Amino acid sequence: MILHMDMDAFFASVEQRDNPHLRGKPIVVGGASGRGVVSTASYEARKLGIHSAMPMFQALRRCPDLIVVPPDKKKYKNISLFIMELLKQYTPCVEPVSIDEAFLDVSGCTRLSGSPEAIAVSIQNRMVKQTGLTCSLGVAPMKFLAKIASDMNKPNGITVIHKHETRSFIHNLAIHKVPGVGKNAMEKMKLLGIETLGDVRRFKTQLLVKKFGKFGLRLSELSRGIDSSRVEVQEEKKSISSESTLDMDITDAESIKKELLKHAEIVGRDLRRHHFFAATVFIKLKFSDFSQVTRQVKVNPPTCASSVIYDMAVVLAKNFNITKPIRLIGLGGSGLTKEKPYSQLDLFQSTVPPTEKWEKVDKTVDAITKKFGHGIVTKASLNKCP
Amino acid sequence: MKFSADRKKLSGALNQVQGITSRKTNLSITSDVLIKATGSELVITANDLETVFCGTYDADVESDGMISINSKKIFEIIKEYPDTQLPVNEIENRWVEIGEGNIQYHIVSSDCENFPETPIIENITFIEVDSIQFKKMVDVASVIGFSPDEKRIYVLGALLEKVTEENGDLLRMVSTDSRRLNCIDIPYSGDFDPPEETIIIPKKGLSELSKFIDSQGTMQIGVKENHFIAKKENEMVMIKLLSGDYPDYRRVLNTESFTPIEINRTMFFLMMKRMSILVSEDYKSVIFNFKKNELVVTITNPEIGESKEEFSISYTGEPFESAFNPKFFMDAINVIKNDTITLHVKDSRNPCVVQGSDNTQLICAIMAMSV
Repeated sequence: MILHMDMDAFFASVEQRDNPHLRGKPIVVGGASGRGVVSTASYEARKLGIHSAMPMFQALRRCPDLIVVPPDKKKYKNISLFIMELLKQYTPCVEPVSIDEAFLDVSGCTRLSGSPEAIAVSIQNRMVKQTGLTCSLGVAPMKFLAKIASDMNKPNGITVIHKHETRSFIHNLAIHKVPGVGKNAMEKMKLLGIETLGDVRRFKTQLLVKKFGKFGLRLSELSRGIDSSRVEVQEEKKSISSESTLDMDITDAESIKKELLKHAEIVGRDLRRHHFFAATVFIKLKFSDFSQVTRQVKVNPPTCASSVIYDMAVVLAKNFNITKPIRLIGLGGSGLTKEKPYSQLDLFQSTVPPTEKWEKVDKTVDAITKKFGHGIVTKASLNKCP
Repeated sequence: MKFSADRKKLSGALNQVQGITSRKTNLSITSDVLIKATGSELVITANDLETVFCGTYDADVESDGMISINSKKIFEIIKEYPDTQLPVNEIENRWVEIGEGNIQYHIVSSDCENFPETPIIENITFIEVDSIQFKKMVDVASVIGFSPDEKRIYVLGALLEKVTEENGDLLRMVSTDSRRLNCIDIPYSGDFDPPEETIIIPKKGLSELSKFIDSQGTMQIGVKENHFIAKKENEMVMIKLLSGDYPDYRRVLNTESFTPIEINRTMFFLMMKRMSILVSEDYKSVIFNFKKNELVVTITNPEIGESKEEFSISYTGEPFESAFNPKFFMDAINVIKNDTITLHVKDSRNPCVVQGSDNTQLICAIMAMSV
């Protein structure tokens, strides 16, 4: 089952939560200048016919007592991050759609978190408790139905569409509620006499494609209860690192360097495999008493060369006064960029920056390793044989 | 110590030292100025341990003496003081009374024993330079700065040397940050007999020097005992030289194997300006595509977008592509005032050397970025 979570009048609710004077009053969040539009309207304001995207001057004309609150994007973003973390406690499969909306795929999580309905109730309760805000949830076997369902019982509502109800639900679903059906599509719908999603079934797919293009195909599928879109977790890589707990605690510089070299090779290889360049190199040291430190340094230009990462790591380790035995060493790169910015050449040095040369060497070694297997070419100092 | 001096004169002197005294050093007293009154003269000194300013001014001195007082505060007081004459009187325990009658300040001064000593340099052979030309030289060198964590001596300072050309000796200043280089020559009169060691003047001192140079007449400069000295009638600046090596900049400026391309200065400048709109911290490079009689410049910034411009040029060499930071070109063109400029280019691994057409006295080299 898929859950769709939608915060109720998110920005406005946040402002009302943080300022008691605003509670129970019609407020809108948006640019205060005459040219702005309403970003979010509180439910009190909505009752007066004010809705999102309405020009501010219109809203003020309709309701002169309206309180206009300037948006605090940073605050909303932070709350959003908190909410997304909360959702991730139910399932790792969370797809944030916007700042106040997310899909959750709870299939396979029922043993841990309870039935989809129970999860929805739990989310709602915890939302109020931990953020003081309310949200509405839709529960359905399909993504698009879940989204429609969350909108059906707002605010603070839960709508469940069970599998056996989908057919009749689709049959009676007003066509304008289907995501993707806008003004233009509605005109065509009227011509075709389509009022509900069920009506779409009367038409052949080919005709729908002719009329609506790609969207026609999707409409046809949706009307038959087919929604191929999945909840997609986009994990953007923020850093690439490698660490290991040592067989025995070490203190001497040589052993530390050797460990760093090993991890630099791994981190460099991972960076190159994902076509990343790291703008920052960091090391992590955990000591025998389990205290740990991290140190980082900027690399300019960003690099994917193992040897450059190694050199940086060694400098970082050297600058740190090691007084306790080390039990874990880690190394990584962050500030990842896909494209390497052009690097400025030096007037007085050889025309190819040495780091670039090393990147070439590393890429060659990667290619050899890929063809002949791991460990076929390795740093001499990492060679196990004496 | 008790004296009274012309407020405007004092204000002018103190204005020149504000840069020196506002620099952070290990000694807090370097934010002071030393004022010494003897006979009918005042000597005002500022010293940040690298750059020293020293000026002598007329004054009505009632009793001789010396005070070390906060430069910024006394400057502000002098600026706002309403009378033409400013009376200053050291009362006791280093309290200094400024003003008289209705307006009176009591300022705590420091122990002048702690003020850093002014280096005594004698028998300096000065050469004479035109003030406007010398100011241009200093300003051209100052265009290329350095980052706060810079360690390389040749980036921290500018090179000063004597060059012998067909029509006489010239004074040359070279400034670089290893990405670009400015080289400027000016004539001088007198015998310049520079010491053996490379003369590298810290860029920090150059920016003070620029303020010191008048916009007319001539001034005297010299190098002795590890100092660069610039002198006007009653004022002088001494800058402690940096010791280090300077890289072979002549190699960078050697354009024998390069192709010269003449270009309209204003049009090229405006093109670079338009290109630089899309420059950001991570994406600074403009791609120059040199084709037959055409230059196509493009910039791509994945965060913003891209831009393309075409430009007719007289180029008949091999087509090639090179990347540059457009801001460097803007800086270079800002100092080259000729209507037509010449770009000397070779390939993507060599600098672009910019020069005003028929002007050999000012050359800017801009290193390429890797393509």
